[in-house]
Amino acid sequence: MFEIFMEAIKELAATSGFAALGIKEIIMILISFVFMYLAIAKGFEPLLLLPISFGMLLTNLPLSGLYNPDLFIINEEGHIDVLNVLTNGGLLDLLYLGVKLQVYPPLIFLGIGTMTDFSPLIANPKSFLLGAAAQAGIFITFIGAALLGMSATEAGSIAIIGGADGPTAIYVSSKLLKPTDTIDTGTIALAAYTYMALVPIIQPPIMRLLTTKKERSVVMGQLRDVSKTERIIFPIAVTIVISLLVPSAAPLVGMLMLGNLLKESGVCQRLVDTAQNALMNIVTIFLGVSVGATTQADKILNLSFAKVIILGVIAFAIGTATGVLFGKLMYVVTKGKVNPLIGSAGVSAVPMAARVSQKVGASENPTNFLLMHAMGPNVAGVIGSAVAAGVLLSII
Amino acid sequence: MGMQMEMSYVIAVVITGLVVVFLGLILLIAFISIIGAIFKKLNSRPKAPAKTNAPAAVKPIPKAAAAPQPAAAVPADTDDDEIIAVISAAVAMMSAAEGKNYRVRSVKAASSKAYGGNAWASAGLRESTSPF
Repeated sequence: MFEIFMEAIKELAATSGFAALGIKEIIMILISFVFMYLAIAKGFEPLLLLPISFGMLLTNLPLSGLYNPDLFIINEEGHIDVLNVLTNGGLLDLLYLGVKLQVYPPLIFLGIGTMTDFSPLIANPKSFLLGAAAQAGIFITFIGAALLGMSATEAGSIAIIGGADGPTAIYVSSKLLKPTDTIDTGTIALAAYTYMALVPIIQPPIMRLLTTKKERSVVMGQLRDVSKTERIIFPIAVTIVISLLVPSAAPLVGMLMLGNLLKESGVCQRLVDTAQNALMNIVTIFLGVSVGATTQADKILNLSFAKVIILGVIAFAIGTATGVLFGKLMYVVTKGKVNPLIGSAGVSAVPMAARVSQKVGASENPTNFLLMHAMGPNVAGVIGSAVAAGVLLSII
Repeated sequence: MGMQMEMSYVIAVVITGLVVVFLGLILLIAFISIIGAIFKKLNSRPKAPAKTNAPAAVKPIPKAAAAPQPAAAVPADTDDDEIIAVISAAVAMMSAAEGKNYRVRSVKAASSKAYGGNAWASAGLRESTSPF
């Protein structure tokens, strides 16, 4: 009797997670605690970083079988075997299908569209230029990644972090990265969301360094009123122009603009309510936890992760700098009517980057309100990074 | 780690990327500017036929305010007229209390370049735009 009991206990111990727990898994679990701390105590993008870090914890618990990267290997026909994932996959494998098949990021964009007001951009279309200039961070980082010896798919995935847009970064990296690459979508998402949370710390020193006190003090005139018809035409026009120019950006831009059209039309209040609340929240949970699951030890505890972290912050810094420098150019061309500080908002990271422009401007002149002016480049940056994503996807 | 890229390929990706992003957004600028211009024209047109209704709406307010000048000082807009009526009423109350007669000769908008003028509005804006 006692022997059988001991045998059963031994067998249980041998097949338990404790027996399979290696040093790598322990380190990864500790790292997940760090990100949970950043999300809960420091408020770093908690809505995404908390599910991501918990997914990271789950995936590094040995033998849990929640996520199996082997199921996502691309077969001879050039795609993943979805039926195999559905038959043999764990919970997070099933949820990760939504990332791998690029379903979640466009749905998040739908929700973002219902919450975005494009009026500042319609009132001042020149803001588009600042949104484009800040995307230089993406492409210059691509050079940096290439110099560090990354493959094209890795370099493209790292570079898109400079777009400062989480769903876009996940969209591009999940489409580009192969199982043979040393990084995974989770690595990119971690870096992207961490740096987005750090925008108020990364951007102001660069903005101050590149501008003079006189430029920072520029007070911009009030924006014109935008009619409802213009706000309705805008999403339709953007969808047509961008989808025709860069077809691979169509899922992101199309859903963003559908969301916006639902909002601006004023006749789909129920759909708007669902898209910006229930649907967005559900997708955020699925996206976060399944992307977090891709951060298994072998994808994080390597030199490439360090490269992602370094190149990610460089991408943000360059995007901020090129935005501000283009803002300076517009300051010169308009003879001092444009405050260069709004250029940094072109990196996306809505609305944080625009708030940073407002804050830095207000620290120079407390009665200067740049927020609405910065929202123009800010939302243009979202469209700009979706276009940049489309370009990367079609070239690489 | 995957295959390393050739520098010529990298430069090609960078140049193509920047050109396409700028091109796309410049196209949008052109499109939206055109639409904006069309709407500006359309919005400026209906003002002419609206003239027939305007005097009827404006008339009673100067009477109530007993100050005909303000109507000329500001554009004929119902909201502005209401504000002028309120200001005139306040002045009338004050003058009655002091036993003097004041007349509102003109009402001008303060320079609103910095959304300034109203300290309460400025404080509110500052509070709602400084979340960190």
